[in-house]
Amino acid sequence: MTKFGRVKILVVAIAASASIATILALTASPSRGQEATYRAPRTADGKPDLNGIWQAMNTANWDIQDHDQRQGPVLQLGAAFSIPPGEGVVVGNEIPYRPAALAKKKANADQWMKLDPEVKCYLPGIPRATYMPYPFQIVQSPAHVLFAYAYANASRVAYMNVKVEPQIDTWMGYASGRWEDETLVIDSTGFNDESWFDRAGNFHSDALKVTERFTAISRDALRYEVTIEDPNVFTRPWQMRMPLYRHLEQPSRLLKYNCVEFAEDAIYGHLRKTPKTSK
Amino acid sequence: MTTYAAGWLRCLAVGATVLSSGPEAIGQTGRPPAPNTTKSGTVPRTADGQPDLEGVWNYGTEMPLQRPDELAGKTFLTPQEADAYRAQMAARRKERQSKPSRYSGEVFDDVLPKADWTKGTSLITDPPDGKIPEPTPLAKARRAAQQAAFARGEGPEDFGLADRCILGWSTGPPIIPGNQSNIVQLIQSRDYFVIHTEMIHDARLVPLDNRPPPAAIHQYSGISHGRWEQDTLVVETTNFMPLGVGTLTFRQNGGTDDSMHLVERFTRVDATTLRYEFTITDPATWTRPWSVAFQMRKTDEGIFEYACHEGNHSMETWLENARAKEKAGEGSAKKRPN
Repeated sequence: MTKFGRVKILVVAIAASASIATILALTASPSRGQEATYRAPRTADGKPDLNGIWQAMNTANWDIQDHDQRQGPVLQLGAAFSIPPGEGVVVGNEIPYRPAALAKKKANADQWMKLDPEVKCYLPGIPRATYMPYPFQIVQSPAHVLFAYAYANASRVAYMNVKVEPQIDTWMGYASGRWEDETLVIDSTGFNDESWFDRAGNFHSDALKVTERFTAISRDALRYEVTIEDPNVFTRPWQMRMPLYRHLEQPSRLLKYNCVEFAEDAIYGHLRKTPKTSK
Repeated sequence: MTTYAAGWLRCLAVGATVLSSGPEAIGQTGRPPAPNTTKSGTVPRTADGQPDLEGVWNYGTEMPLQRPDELAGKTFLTPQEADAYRAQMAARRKERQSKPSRYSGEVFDDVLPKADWTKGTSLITDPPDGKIPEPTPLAKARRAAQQAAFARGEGPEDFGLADRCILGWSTGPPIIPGNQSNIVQLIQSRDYFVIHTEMIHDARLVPLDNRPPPAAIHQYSGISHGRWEQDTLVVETTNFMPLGVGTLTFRQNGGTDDSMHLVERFTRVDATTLRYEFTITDPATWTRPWSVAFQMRKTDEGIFEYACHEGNHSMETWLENARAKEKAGEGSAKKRPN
């Protein structure tokens, strides 16, 4: 073969391998590993910038486990307030209740309208505040990550790199935060036993410990992972996982849903001078 | 303000050494005093280069919002007058504490931090008489209607916003020192400033841009936007509910309206001091604007969760009492407290 002929073969070989590589790159779907290597823009202090208005898009507030569609509790509200089908956010779809606690969960579900703190516009607790069907805003500084929730004007602050000691039992917990590479890790304790995890009666005791992990997976989405520990209620820790999506309205604005006034009849209606009836 | 102008003014501010230590004396014009310039280098800055306003700040003070009647005409006291007046206040406090009260007494910041009476005699800096201006006829009518409703207690809406745990107490907006929980947490990022109050857990979000608020949406804490003017953060808030603001002071005045326009100014004076000023304009409620200025001290205290509505046993009690009185056939001559 002539020298020219060998060069021609080499050129063709290189071109072919480049084409094959291109085809492979274009058809490869992003694996978890690639997702985890997204590097968010940085704040001035060099940390991943999670500032923004975020919201979950799922039916977890109805039921954090897989659920079929079913009739809602108020017949006149029909389809506007019945339960749509939804995939759960619990890893493995199993909540490891102790037997007595499982009975309490069922009792909660049976008396949902009377017992669910959401109906009363009570503070939603963590992690429910994250996946209620309303947005929330993160305002991040080196020392604080503040979460402002639309629902019930709820809020909490994660104090960065300090060990926070709860002084009282609270609805929203006492939170300490730290960075692990691209992930914001928040540990919370100091909960009371009054909030629920969803409208299906899933609940906890005041021994609850919540560990949350927020990781940007793209410019406009986070991966949110939660570990629930509560030895009074569950036989082992368990996890929830879901994406959170950025509000992209220009400008985006968080409006507060201060719902106390709408809960007053549910709570005090029987004490009115003249009872009110629904429209 | 352009970057050029801001830079030029910042050069002027360097070397200025006026530091405030109390409410300003009232000038003849009755205008609020100009914002203090700060000694460059004493104001910590964030990584974004802004003055660092972050932290928990205590704004308790013995200085009343309005000039006491017995000090009418005195925009400041001499040191001897200040001592004498403080002795008077202590005697009154002692008398108050000897009487039975609805509260145990430990609830209130009863011994509030001292103020400098040689610099002022009210937190109100304008109008010059140190008093909240005359309310409009509409405001007076609203106040009368609220008092009548409170006496009837026919339903939760007959009580004030604070009583209902919707919006409460000293944290407004605006912030006005009261007799408890005089504490606020400030958090800032490059694009947002947050005024995070304790009572009642309100994270007031202030975008640091000039976006206009939406025309037809109202919020209990209004809708805010802010901007830096040199080292002062200016926060403008409008779009309040037409129902009235829930702070104690405003309850006494019948609340405010959706025409309320609030301008607040936050200036970090030094490592432990923040100066807070506001001007409130509400033509539906007051016949003229009025302004307030006071200082906040940095504190190591944390803010507590104040789950007001979740524990609002008072509402049940008031309604039960009202129903019981109706049953017993009593008149509704109940006076509104405070």
